Amino acid sequence: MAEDFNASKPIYLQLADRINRQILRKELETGQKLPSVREMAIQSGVNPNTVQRTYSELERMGSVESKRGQGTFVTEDQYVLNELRQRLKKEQISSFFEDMKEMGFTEDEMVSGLKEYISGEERGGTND
Amino acid sequence: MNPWWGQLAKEYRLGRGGAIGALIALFLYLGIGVYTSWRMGNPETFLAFCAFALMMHVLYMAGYMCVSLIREQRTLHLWLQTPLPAYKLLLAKLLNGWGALAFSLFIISAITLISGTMIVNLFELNPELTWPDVISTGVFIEIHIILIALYIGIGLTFLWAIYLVVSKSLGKVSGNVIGIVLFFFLPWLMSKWESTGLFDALFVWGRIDLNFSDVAYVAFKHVYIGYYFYHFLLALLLLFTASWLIERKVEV
Amino acid sequence: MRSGVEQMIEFNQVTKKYRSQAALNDFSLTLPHGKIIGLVGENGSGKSTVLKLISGLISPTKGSVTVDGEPATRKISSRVSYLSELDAYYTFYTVGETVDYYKSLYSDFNQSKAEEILDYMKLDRSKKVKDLSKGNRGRLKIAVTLAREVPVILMDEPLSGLDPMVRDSIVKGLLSFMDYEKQTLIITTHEIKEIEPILDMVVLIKDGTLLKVEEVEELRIEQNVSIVEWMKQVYQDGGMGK
Repeated sequence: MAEDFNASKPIYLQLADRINRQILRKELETGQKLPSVREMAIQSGVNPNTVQRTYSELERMGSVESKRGQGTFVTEDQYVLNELRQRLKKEQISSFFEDMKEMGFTEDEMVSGLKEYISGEERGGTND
Repeated sequence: MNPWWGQLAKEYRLGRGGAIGALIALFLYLGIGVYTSWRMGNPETFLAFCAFALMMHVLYMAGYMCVSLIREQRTLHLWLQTPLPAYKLLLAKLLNGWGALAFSLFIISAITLISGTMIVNLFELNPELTWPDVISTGVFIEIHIILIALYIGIGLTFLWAIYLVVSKSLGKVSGNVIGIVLFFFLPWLMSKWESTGLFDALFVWGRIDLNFSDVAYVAFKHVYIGYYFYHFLLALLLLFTASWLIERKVEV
Repeated sequence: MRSGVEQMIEFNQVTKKYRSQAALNDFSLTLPHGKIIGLVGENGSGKSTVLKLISGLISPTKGSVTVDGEPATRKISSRVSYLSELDAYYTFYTVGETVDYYKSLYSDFNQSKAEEILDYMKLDRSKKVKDLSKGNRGRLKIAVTLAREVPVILMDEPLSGLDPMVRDSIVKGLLSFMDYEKQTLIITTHEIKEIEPILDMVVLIKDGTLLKVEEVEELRIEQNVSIVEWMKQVYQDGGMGK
């Protein structure tokens, strides 16, 4: 977890993003307790107030719930998790789409390129 | 351990090397004394060496404080960061120096006494001399050596504090110049003041006659308590001023 | 228990002159409780002077410096733990004796915390301070400064002269061992990149004057810049303004 953060983007969002991804990858399981703010700050090498802000942000998104006096837990609400999954997918695709559009690719080129890439990737995978 | 004991212990460690060095120097010097005395075939020469070393102890505190303060100056911010008031910081040094002085003085006194009674038997040389004479004269001299040594040590501390203040605000050269000027000027000023009528009126009181027998080598026939009182006040004033300067004016 | 409103360290129109040269000029600044604050600027911009003023090691030529309303004189050392940039120690002590000495001086000194930090920094208690490497002396300095439970911790260039791996472990150490709910940590450093992620606020000074104070995360949110980038911008703007 000690990879560097991009120093010119808000760290609380980068950290929230990391945690969300861990939740989707099931590295953090549903209902699991997140490290305390202090522990998380030490683990990730960021300011504790920033971690606090990350946790608030995650709570606002619904991916975690804080239980008074007990700590912060990954939500058990499958609906919310699903939504999170969909949202992250959408975000990723939209940034891909915007970038490609900026470079002048047409929508058809994007779709075919993506398909080609995926099948190429699969071929590469079976050749290993 | 509270801060005061911690600071005393620290000063002990800071001053220990210097004190041991001074003891070694003392023994080397006495060694030279033994050698010279043997070469000259005159045991009394060694006694003279001892007496000189004994008298030189009036400068012991000055030397001790010099070493201690110069070493402290290298890490001045650590010293100033301590929670102790400046007078306690100085007292911790002075007390340790005093302890080292007492130890060194005890050794040289013992050697002097032994060589004065065994190697050269003063009682034989001078049949009128008695033990009470030796002891009372000895105690009188020792007390004065200790007091004068402390006094000079405090005077030096005072000059050091002024040096620190001046050298920070005006530069090191100015600090040195002012320090040296004060070193000569202040004693001169004091001797002027002490010879005034006002001084006599204020501090020449409480005469005590000293009943040393004529054979004891003491030049004083009487002393004035007022005079001691005056020097006590002056020492306090110097120490207070030095503390105040360190507390308020010394910067790093 | 945190409240951003309470101001704890206050510089009120402070000018500090050394001989005739001004190290700080009409400098006003208030810093809140419970933050990790970076004090940045070029060499000779007055960073060390600011820390020394807070620690009471020097006093202002004009104006006032207070910590929790109390003027910063020598006595402020009961509230302020200060780490000097100087490589100066009592060399006759061992590492363990140095810790014992600090323990005796300060009633707020947390012995077990100090031991933990020594372990974390891999310092050998029986080693003489004069035999330590420069890096290890630097760590010892940090250990005794950080082991005090005081509201204000000041560190002047704690990372200078240490190699990158050590710097990283020290930055982590700061997070582990400081009590961020009760303590304010002010750091001056040239190694901005290393401490950037742990800072709440950054104070930028130039030629003894305050250029700007910012919340670091706000810089990233509003301007999409890192501290180093921001510093360059402000320094340039400041230069043009003059």
